[in-house]
Amino acid sequence: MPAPARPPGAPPDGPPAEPVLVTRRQLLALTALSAAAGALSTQAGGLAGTAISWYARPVGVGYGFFSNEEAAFVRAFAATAYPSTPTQPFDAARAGIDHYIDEAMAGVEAGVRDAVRTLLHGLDAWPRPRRLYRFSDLDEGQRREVLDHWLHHFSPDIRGVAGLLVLLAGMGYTTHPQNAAFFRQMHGCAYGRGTDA
Amino acid sequence: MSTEHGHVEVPAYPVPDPSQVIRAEAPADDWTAVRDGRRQLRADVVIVGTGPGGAAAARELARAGARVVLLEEGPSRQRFRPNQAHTARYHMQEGGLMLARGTTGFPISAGRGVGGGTLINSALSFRTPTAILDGWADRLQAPWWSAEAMALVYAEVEALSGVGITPDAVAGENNRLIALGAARMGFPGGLAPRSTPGCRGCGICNFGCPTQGKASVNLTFLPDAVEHGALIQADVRVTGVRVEGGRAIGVVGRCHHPDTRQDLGEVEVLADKVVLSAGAIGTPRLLWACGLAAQMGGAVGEGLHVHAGSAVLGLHPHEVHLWKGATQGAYFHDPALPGVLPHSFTAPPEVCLAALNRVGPRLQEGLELLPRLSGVIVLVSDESTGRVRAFADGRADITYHFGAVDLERARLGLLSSARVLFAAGAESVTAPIFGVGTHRDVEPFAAALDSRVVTDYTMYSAHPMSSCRMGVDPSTSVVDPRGRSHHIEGLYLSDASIYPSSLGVNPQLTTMAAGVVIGRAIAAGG
Repeated sequence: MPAPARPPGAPPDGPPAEPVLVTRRQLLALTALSAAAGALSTQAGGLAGTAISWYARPVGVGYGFFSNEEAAFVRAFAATAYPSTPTQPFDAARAGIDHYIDEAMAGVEAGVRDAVRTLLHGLDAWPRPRRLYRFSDLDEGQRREVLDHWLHHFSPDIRGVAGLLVLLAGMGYTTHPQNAAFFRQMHGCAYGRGTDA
Repeated sequence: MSTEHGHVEVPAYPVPDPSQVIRAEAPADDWTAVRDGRRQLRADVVIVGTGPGGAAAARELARAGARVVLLEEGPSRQRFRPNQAHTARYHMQEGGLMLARGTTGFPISAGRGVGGGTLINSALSFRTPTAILDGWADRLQAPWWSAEAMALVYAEVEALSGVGITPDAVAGENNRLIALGAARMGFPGGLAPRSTPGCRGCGICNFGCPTQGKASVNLTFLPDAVEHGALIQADVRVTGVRVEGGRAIGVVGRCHHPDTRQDLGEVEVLADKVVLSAGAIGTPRLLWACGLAAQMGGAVGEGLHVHAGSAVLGLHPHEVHLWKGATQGAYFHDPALPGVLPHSFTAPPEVCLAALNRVGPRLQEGLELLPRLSGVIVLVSDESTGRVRAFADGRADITYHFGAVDLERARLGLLSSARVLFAAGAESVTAPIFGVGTHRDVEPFAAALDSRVVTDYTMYSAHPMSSCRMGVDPSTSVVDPRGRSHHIEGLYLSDASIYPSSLGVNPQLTTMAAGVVIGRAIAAGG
């Protein structure tokens, strides 16, 4: 079987030096992923057997697509959307969502991947004008405020992009072995039975 | 114009016997059959696509003695894994990345893999309403499309697909509640007809069936076609139709590895007749990408309908587990809303959490709500239209403009659905529509919907159709009422792209029936 074009651990492409203007077209391109969130996350399954599972990888190393900066944003975003709760104490911060989405990106067409990268930078930089820091450098309370702002934004494109990242992170969160047992109670044919987890 | 609408009609069905319907998966060649970067085949008929339209036509042609080759973009076998992600990668065209742009952006999904969309649909099996079929027969001057004539074909494909009413034993609570609420409202409806004779109620038909209980065409029509000599070559994305002297003589495509997408070479099939069955996105996309559309009049890719819909979620005092039980196993219709078909909503927990906006500080609340959710999705037989073209890299370029009339019908359908959920005992309802909120009665829910615009709605479509329509006028249609190209001899279409109007019901049964009609016409020399 031919090897994946970009194996895990390959050096990532360099990110743009500065966040660039996010166009409606790019937003729509990312929003399209809502139907294909799977295409992203399936890479975890596609690479199974050739590498350590996404949820078992150490933080901050071994990305195929993300730079460390981008991975840090995804971790921060996922942790904000899926914090520890009384029902599910295992939060997304420890779930390896950055690796989950990183592996997924290998299967996405180049144009969409470029849009994703641009949008991640755009969202991470969003708080700077008002809060002076990137999203990934904010404290938990500030991140919650920013996420809430995005999810209730007047622009459907901003809501769509934030909602999409919530969905993508949720796919990793719900399929992680620590959480799959809980969701399997509701969806017996799926989570934890031959899934990526 | 596509202004006709009809009410769904459900005949009585016998209880299907899965052992008489579901066969071993149709054998298909995969990428390993393309040796040294090239494979060339010769056939009487080459069919592009193995979904319901291509499979049904292939069966008819193979049984009539034609040498049939089918080419399929997706993998040769079901790659089922109970994970939406996996489904998108292997069994959705363009990896699930197709997006319609226009008045609002929304995803359009279409299947791939041997079996096409039937691998990942919910198996709902409605006949197209009488008013619509009879309207086609009149406009096309083609009595074989009338409801009376098509009833015979429907009966055949229903038997081949094991269509039956969803049994109580596998229905699940969400479907039961919707049927109950509809009955209490006096709405026609109940448990739905589905082509799942071996259903065990997993609730994930749209990821793929884990038990081979669904009669997808790779387990029905296609094994029969192969038994009669048809050959299926998977992992090939067709990129062109060969035309010489105004006549189609074959197709050419590229083979790729299903896991890595690595290009493995060219596949060419030379044939006397070419049938395009790549779906209402894939067929016009191909015709535009290969430069043939310009030779086929102005109608290729025009008039796209999508059945775009939205949903209502109910919250009940008891546990529902809307993911348990037959996928989308109940339906109803409000007699005041012809062409609006609400049916059960099935989606995984993370989709519900996102739709409800119960993340961040509200995640715990969302986790507690999940078990008590019920859901209805509202399908609107759209009068609005869009169009399909091809980007330079071969991907589909889709635009769609959701009109005010359809938005109003969607709104009314959502209200009917909310009434049904309240009648079934819901304590409150909400919808994945920005700014709507949660309501304990229909009136405030209606008031909240009144102020919403189309971009507030979360839309989704899995029923593209009508993008290469049948008609009698070559300037406004692509094929004649027997599926023959007006402009290119030997070229036929057999998929949902040919419908002259929106169906208003889930299209798989009609697409199978159309495949039978067109396959027989080709076999008869048409």
